[in-house]
Amino acid sequence: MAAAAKPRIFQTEQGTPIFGVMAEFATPADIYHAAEKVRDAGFSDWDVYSPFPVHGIDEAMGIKRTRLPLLVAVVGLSGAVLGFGFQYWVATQGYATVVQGKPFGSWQTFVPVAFEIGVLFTAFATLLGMLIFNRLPRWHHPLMCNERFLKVSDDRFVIAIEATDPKFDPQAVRTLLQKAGATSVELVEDK
Amino acid sequence: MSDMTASASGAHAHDHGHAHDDHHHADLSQENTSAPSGWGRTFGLAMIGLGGLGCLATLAYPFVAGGEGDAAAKAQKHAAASYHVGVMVALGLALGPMALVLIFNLVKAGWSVTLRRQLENMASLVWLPVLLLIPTIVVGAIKPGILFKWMTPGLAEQDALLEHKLPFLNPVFFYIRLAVYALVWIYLGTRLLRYSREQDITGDKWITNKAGRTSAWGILVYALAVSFASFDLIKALDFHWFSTMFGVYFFAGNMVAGLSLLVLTLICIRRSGRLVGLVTDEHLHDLGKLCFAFTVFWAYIAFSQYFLIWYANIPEETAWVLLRGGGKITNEWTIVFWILLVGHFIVPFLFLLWRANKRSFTTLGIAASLLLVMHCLDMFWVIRPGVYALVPVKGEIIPGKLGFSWVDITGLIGPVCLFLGFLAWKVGSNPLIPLRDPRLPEALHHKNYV
Repeated sequence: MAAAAKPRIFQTEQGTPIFGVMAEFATPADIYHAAEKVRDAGFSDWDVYSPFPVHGIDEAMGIKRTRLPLLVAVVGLSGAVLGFGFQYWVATQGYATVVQGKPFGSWQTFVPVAFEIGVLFTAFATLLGMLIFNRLPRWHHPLMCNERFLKVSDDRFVIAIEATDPKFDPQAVRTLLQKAGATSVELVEDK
Repeated sequence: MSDMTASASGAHAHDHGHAHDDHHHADLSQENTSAPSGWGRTFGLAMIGLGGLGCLATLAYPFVAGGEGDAAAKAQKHAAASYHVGVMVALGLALGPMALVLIFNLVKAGWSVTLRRQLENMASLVWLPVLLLIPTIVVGAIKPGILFKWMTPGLAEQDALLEHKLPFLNPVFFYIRLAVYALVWIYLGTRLLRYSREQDITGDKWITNKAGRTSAWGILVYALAVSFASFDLIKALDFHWFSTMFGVYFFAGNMVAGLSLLVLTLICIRRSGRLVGLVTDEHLHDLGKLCFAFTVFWAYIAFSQYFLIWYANIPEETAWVLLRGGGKITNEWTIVFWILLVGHFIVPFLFLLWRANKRSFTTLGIAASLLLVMHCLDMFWVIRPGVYALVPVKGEIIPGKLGFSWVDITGLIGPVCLFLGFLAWKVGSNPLIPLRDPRLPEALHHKNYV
């Protein structure tokens, strides 16, 4: 416990902090199986980068299901209730007006707007929740400074294990990725 | 860890993304793709027997419960309306699946190939409710006005609205229209199953394209036939009323009922150890999503129809809702109105919102059973009051009486059990999936990724 909590800072001989270790793979199948190995080794701060979606990579990486739906449901239903409540307040207290001789606070009129506000809040919760859970937007990512990494938008598949991972050890990680079939492994600095 | 991994650039997913090969080797053996011999025979025969009894009991009701004059007319109307509820539910159980088959063929759906055969079975049985309509029509022709009040001789002279609608709502044109609907449905239902069965035998992949072409014009004709049939067979029961949304309302209910029946059929087949690995949790998940979507769609349409009637407040329209207990002045039908709101929308909405509930046969089966019962209640709520709730008793009209009797049960189970019985026979006599559909592999590898 005490050992794990101790802050570990990795840096180069020049004193630049290390972002992590990046490994290149040639095919989707390679990266799929490599991801399984990294998952089984128990890493948590790492990611797979590929030019297109690789089917089944979620399980290979051991990614847990997102909690986004719960957030969306709560916010969406709250939005609907809020929309309904606000209209009800306006129609009965705030600015009670006779329309078509219908009673004040006729629930029927409030349904479409309550529904739409529910949909609007759902959309906002989905987008913003997704951004927050992914810690987006961000201006910069250390991998983007790596010349080789840019190939990931073309035909390269990359796994990067980050130095913040409690199991991170530059030498052990390098060995693991090489054994997993990487075509090249290199250290990435946090510039 | 990030939620959006492995999709760094927006390239589209295609086959070389299929990195892993843990796809269970799908069992396409004859054993797994056909029902056990004699499967469903007992159930089917029992259902057909029960359905036959139900129909006979319904037919007997006017003689058992009837009396003289008004009471006799009341009993006749009651039996006719109850039977009509059953026939319309059975019709929906064929028409909902027919729409799904047409859509799947049209959009070249891959994921649903292993489910399509059961839908084709249901759609091909459309002849049964059509056949069951014939007694209603014959009785209506012999004694006009029992079910379709607008047929009452001489009514048009007293009723300006009916006189106005006469060019459309007259017996000859009515019978012609019904014949056209029947032809369209029976042709599409049998044709689509036959294409699919032909492909099982010949393996000709071009049959898929032929079925697609048939579906292209078929879906258009189908949509018109279903809309107009809902006007003729249900809306015209209250011929003063009009609602341009009613066709969609009928369609939405049919889709809910058809999907629910599909879920229950698949449960029955899976329980006998068939379709292992062919209909998986992934298919179930998508079926659950469709059930959810059409439950919401039904509620959306039902509310929109009610909302417009409430807003415009035109007497011809509001009368329909008031009679069914949806107004401020409640009556005995109000309880049905509320059960529908809660049981046909709120409960299934909240229940099917959860991912896990869509991915298990038990929970999705519970939802499907509820929705099927609710669809029956929906048809009961739509059809029964228009025929029977306003019948004068000793010269006095008492609106909004439920007047529930055993004939409401027999009238419903008669046609519906007959349909289920024939469905059991169909399931047992055809391969359980389209064996040689070119898109079958897509269905075997179907995954939701969410």
